[in-house]
Amino acid sequence: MGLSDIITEPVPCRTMVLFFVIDTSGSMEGEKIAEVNNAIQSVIPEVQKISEDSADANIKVAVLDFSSGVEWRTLEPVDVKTFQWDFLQAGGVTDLGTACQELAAKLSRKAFMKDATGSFAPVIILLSDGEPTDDYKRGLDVLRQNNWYKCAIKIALAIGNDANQEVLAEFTGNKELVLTAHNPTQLRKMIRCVTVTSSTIGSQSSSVADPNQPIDNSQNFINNPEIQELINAPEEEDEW
Amino acid sequence: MEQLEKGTKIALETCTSLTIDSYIAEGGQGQVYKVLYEDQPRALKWYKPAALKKRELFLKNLRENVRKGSPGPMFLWPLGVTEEVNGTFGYVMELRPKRFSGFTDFLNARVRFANELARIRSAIHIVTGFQQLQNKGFSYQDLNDGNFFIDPTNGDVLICDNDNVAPHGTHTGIAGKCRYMAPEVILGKEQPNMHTDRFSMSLILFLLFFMNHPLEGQRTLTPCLTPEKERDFYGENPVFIFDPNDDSNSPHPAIHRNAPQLWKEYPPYFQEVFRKEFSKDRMTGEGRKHRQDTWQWLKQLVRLRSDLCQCPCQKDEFYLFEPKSCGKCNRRFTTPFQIQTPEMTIPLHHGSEIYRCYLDGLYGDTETSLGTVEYSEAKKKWVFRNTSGEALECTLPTGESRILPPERTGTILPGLRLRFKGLTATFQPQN
Repeated sequence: MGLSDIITEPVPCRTMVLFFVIDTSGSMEGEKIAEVNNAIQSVIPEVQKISEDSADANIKVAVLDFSSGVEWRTLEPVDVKTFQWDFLQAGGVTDLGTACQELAAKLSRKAFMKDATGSFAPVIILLSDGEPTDDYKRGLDVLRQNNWYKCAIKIALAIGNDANQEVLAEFTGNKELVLTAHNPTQLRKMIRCVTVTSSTIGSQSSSVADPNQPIDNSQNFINNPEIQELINAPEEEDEW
Repeated sequence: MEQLEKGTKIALETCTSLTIDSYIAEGGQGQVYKVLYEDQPRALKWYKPAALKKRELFLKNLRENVRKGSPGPMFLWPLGVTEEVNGTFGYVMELRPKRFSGFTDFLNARVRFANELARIRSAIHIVTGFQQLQNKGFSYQDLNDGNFFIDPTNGDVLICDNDNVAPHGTHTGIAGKCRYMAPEVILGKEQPNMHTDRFSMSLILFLLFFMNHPLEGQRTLTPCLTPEKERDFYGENPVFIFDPNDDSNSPHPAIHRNAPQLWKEYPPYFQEVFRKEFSKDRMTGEGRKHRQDTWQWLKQLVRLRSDLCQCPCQKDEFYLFEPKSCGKCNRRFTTPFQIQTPEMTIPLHHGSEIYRCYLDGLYGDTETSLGTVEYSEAKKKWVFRNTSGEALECTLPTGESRILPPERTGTILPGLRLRFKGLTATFQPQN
């Protein structure tokens, strides 16, 4: 046997799962859910490119929506190369607690995080415009025990002033990781920027800017210039 | 970040200007455009505002790199820095020709080398690039798979992202990726320097030849790669997948499938180089100050190339460190002769090239060939064909001098000496 008989495979790399956890309660109906659908659909090709350009990670996508109950739109994380966005409809109440419990159940090596080559810490993007209608604390407590959740980059996008910022900050564990969109243009820009930046940071072998500081990908996310631009943007009037 | 519009003029610090032609791509630090500069198509790297942590230091270093000039033709080196526009700036460099593919594409098996010779040539070019960089007193700050572009047909290399290159010992505040960094940099014991670059170079070469990461095996197959584990795997306790004294991180048969197949096809001396470079002593012990330098790498790669045998049937290639037959046409290959050089002994097989660097041992020029060794079926003899373009002086074993004109062949006899520009190689029967 010579070298020409050996067909090499891609160098194995880890998986990075990008979770979208989306509020599809009644208040999201109309422009909000339409904008969420459009924005996520249009950012997917950019995430595909990030995955393609990386020899460090293969990005997969998982989508959970919650209203009166919860539903996974992906039976398991789907390779972003073949992922297609199914438009979500809005209606019902805001069962955030149930969503947290469901997320905790799937953030497990026995469920969604079972790739043999191992995974990077996931990215979880939560989008919501209102108040939880169920006992969210109970669900969040369960989720907080989950080790995948603990090391994940968690970001929340508050859609309009009616979103409960406190609850979203409890979810992310850091107020700086809650961004508020006050109009459709801003929401679209935020979804794009947050998805691209978190996917880029989450799918790389950690970067060591200052080796004396512990590596913290959430902090790397906050420090990203484009995210800083979003955080420091002047407050806009709420149009929702 | 908004895109610059076609036709936008941007002034350079040198009182010249460039004109934006088209957008090419966007990366972590900024965007890349095709531009017109000094009437030539060139590339512009345009930084995102605030992408650079130590901006003044970075800019000063970039200007200095422009002033010092490119270390060699394979570098897409900064040619000029622009004036500041809307809070940011950029630099001009050569455009990358389309025949080059990113090293990442090779790692993802989307692009493959046309043959093993192209792979070795790319390795030689990468090491030569390092050598040229180090000769100018530079070191990389964030060496990784994104820095190299390779032509899969012949192994030509382009080295990009040279804005992060800085004099040995300085630090421009650019973050590197753990998977490609020397353990002492990950642990914060050292700033990137010549020794850490040598580690990264060995790592890139291992990936290039064996298509698996040298430090990723069974031990690193952890469900979740947390920053703590990353420090452990790549910084505190890295273990080579073929460490002869520690099999805790050996390749997983179902996951790391390239390296175990490829490893055994390579000569033992080549395996030994990696065993040494990824030994605990050279990774995390005192040996890290004695990692193999570029000259030693070139010597090993040139030796490896001399062992590569491409069967005339064009269907198989292999390293001839022991007698072998072509797996496709069964042609038997032996090495009846060798040449003795100041640095090493080169076994000769049908098709062997006698490179000039065998004679001078300098490896500044690894490409110039004096001729080829062939087995003449008609004469039933081993011959040397002069392809150097010049007449070569030969001394027969009897002491008699002969001139071998270009494109002519001469019979190889034990003791035959070949002279070229004051350098001598002696043909000997293989021991």
